[in-house]
Amino acid sequence: MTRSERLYRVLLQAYPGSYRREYEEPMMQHFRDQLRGVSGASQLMLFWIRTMLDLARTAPIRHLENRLPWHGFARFTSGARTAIFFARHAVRRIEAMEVQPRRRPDNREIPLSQECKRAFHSAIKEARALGETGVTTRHLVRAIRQQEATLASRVLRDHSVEGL
Amino acid sequence: MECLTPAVFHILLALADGERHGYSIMREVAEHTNEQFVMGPVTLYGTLKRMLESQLIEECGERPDPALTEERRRYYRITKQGQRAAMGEASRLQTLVRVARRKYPLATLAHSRREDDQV
Repeated sequence: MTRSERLYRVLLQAYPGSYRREYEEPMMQHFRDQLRGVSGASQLMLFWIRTMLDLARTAPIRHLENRLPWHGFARFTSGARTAIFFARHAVRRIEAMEVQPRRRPDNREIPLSQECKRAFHSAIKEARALGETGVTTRHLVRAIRQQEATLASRVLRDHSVEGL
Repeated sequence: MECLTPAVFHILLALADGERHGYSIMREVAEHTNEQFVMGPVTLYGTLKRMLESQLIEECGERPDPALTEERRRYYRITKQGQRAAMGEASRLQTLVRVARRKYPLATLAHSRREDDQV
């Protein structure tokens, strides 16, 4: 292993652990491939400047993404994400009105119920089956409506919200 | 129809001629854009992951690239859905260019003349 490779492996520590587990090896391989095309001290310097800039630009984004409330919602369109955001907001407001408000650590997301996770999965499947690239609110509503016996599906059916 | 990000569209174009691994995709994109669009590894692998999830591309095994080293590399290929998305994006851009040509006839003329000079 060259000195550059060793240094790059150390620098990769700047990325979140979950990201490193998945990408450390492909990124090292990519780095070696790029390094092979570099010859001479000035080119090496330029290459390192580019590499450092890439790292400085992308590492904070990867950390931020892990903290975003919709981490894992990459397939959802912004409309669908907004709907989920407001749903969570509504839960917080309802909880605040309870006689004994539940205490949640400030930055902790409200966990999703099993029915909710199942609805998300079927919305993703539905979007895929229709050959669409993103999950929209329409897919979410359809997925919730198709569920057997949840409160939300009953409300949608009672108010005759059809398949849209 | 949603528009594709530049990185996604470039990767779809790079995979149009057949399967490639990550580094080869990056080189192909850099070449077909005259080194104007050089993706860093994070952008590249992040985009590839999202494209795999939305089934625009798929993995097709690991093997070494005879032109490079003995290391095994993960290869990717475009799916039918990816081809549809690329064609959709191309026609969307074509419409935009048509509108731009109509609205800025002088500017586009000047630009195409510059391109002719280069040829």
